[in-house]
Amino acid sequence: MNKIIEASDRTPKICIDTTNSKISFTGVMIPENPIEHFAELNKELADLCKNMSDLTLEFDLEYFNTGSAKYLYEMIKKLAALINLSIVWIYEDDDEDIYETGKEYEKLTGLPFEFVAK
Amino acid sequence: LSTDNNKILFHFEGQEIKSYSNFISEIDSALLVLKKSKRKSIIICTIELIQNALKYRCCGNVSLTISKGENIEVNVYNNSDLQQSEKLKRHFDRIEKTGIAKLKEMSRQNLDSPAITGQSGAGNGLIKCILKSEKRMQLLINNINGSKNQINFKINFEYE
Repeated sequence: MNKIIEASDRTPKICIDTTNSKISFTGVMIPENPIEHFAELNKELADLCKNMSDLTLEFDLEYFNTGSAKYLYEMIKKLAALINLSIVWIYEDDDEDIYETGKEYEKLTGLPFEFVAK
Repeated sequence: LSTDNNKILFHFEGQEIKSYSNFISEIDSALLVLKKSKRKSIIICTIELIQNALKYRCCGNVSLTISKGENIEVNVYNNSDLQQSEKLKRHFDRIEKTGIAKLKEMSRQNLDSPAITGQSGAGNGLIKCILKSEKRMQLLINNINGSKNQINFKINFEYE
């Protein structure tokens, strides 16, 4: 099953590709309350994980607010408890903020992160 | 106003951001003299401050001015009730007195603490702004009548 959730003014495009066991987030992520905003997505991702053994999350985010940073961290931790998770973290090569946040997640979660400069 | 001798690069006043994509691209265009990483730092701080201002305002408009003088100065204003502004001041005073290494540790701890529904960034928004501005951030509070205060966050960013 493949599903695309189109980007909005405050939220990223989300591509759920079960064929390749990959979910990608592209764009900006600045909703005022991401925990409430993405509640449905959380349920959907948890259900997806029941039928998969491995999953790659790919993040290519230009801006995200601190609420979204918290949400993403929680989401990564929850999915990592359900499935064999790996992360691809795409950043612009002069974007220290996005890169450092990815490094922080890598350190805190202990998960394999692949950093890709663009 | 500290912007009296400065050139205003961007101004917003209102009660909601109708289009964040326009908001971001207009600020980015206004700051083209800066390198991209600096522009991104200013934009992400601006988003944090304006979202907080819109969330916690009690009445009236929120305003944002980005001006250019010796530094790039960002000013965000909103009105707040006394209880909210006192809470904000306590939070700001606590983190403003904290060193950079400790702030990074606090940010990490906030990230790793359980999420609370209704709270978005677990208090990391102001920490991020203080870190991004290398502690050149001020909170100014002026009483505008008995029951409300004007909140002004001011951040200075060096050109390089």
